[in-house]
Amino acid sequence: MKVTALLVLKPSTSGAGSSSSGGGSGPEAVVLANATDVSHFGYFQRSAAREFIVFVARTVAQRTQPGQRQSVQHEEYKVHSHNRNGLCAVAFMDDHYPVRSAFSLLNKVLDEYQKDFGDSWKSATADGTQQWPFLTDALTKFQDPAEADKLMKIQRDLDETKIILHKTIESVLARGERLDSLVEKSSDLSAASQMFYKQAKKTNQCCTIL
Amino acid sequence: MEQGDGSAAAAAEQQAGGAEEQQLAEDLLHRFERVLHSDPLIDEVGFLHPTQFNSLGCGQDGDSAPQALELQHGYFWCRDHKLAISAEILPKLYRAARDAYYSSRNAPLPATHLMSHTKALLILCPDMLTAWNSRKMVLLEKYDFTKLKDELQLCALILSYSPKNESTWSHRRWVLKQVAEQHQDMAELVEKESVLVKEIAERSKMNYRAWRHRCWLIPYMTRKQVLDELKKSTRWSELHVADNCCFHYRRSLLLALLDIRENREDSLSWESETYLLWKEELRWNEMLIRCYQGRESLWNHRRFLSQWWIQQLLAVEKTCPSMTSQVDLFIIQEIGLLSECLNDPVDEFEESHVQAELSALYILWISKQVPAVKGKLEERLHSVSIMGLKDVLVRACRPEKMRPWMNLLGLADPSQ
Repeated sequence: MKVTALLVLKPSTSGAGSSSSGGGSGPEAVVLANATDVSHFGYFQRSAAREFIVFVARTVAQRTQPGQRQSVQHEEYKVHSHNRNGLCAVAFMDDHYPVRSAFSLLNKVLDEYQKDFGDSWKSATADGTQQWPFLTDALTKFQDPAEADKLMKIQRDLDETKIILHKTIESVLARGERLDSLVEKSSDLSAASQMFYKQAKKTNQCCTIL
Repeated sequence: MEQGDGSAAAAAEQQAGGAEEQQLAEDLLHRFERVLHSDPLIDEVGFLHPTQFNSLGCGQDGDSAPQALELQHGYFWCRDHKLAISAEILPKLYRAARDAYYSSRNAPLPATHLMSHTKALLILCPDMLTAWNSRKMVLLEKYDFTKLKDELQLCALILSYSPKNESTWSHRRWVLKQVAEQHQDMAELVEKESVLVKEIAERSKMNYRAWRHRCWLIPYMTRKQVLDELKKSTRWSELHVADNCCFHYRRSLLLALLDIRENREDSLSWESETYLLWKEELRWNEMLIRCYQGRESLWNHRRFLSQWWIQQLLAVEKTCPSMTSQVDLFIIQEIGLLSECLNDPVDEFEESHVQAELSALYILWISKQVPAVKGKLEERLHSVSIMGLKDVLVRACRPEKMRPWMNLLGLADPSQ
């Protein structure tokens, strides 16, 4: 089991989740805090992995409505997302991390964020650049789901909204949106990463590297 | 005639072009081998798309050594022991390495040529068994520990980007065997291998080959090391409960412990130690089963543990019967676990459903593997108001699992 990244975002409210089929990029979520551990990736894949985590987190958070909890399967990852009153926590985990533990962790992250920063996030318009120590520590601590289970026992008032499960990231997108075109438009991804994405897509079809 | 001349000229031209191309490819190979030679500590290789390769140079700090700068030109990039090769030259480079290897194989050249060509070739294509064999032949000429250590390094390098490559794992085992034949003390080497496998397993999940390598090392371990390994892999298993490989490793370690029954006077203490160890493993496994619902690897581990445990208890009971049967107590406990799993509330992730099925199959499996306790199991099931094994099967299992189990247990209705 592995937690690769924890992020806190603020989905844009100007037409949140609406289709961005018109030219240019649609409304985008703002990344308030980000803790990512890519040490298990190959040295040369790390920067692309980092960029993709931000890109996928933005894409999923923007499409998680307030009060909604959803899990998205993306390649070998599960991306869990919980939007509470406009503040959205996103976690990247592998398949085996228990879903319930993942959401109690997200709950905890949102609690702590509001405790540390109050409502200042409501006026945020640009990505946060400072590290938030709690999130970095949490990324290490909650590699063990047993730690998250301890939270579950404390969080009595855990809201019981149903968790929506998505088999692919495409099923989160609004009608008319395509992942490929989002990848092309995204400013999070460097040319190299976009190439990496296309290559990966191609190599997934047949198992060769050349 | 004229036409013939024309085509001959074209062919000659083409040949000249071919020769030029070949020269270029050889230059590439030469440079590749020089890079490998200049940094023997390279621990990771990446084959990069040209766009990514080009972005490596820029955006880096400007304090790179002149040598690194030189390498940045063209198609190789090497810094901090990480080597990047631009993917566009791979086919050319591979052909050059292959040709160089074939021509040097039978030529009266010093072995260093062969070694450097095969190294280049194997990094590009680790499944080239002929090349691995050529290296083995050279290494066999004279035992040289440093050379064998280099060999381990080469294997580790290839495994860094191709962690499931069997040819490389197999070569690694061969090298270790050579060392073991000369050195008596393998303790330090075994330790290092364990660390390597652990690191590789972190990066590629469910890597059966890596874990099998670790299992393969067990015969080289002392009893103390086996115990240490058990202790060290506990945490890893807890964090990777879905990965059966590590549990399989633990089973191999436990079996090894049973084998290393050093025939000394302290066989009694050996027995009690093993007994305690096993009991603890059962307790630990049950704790994990309760924490993580519906994980097959955990139940498989429990099958293994219970089978030996029950047989042990039965044997003890035969030699010295006591008032309270330990076997009965154990069965009561296991049926308790079953009924708990069967009665878990249904949740949205279907985990409890899977858990119920796995627990049912576990009990059925025990009844099949240790027939001596089948009667006791049935008896005990009634007391938690389950009507026998068939009822367990009907209550918890999917239809496709039912039929084979019905047959296995002789429960199938003969009229059907």
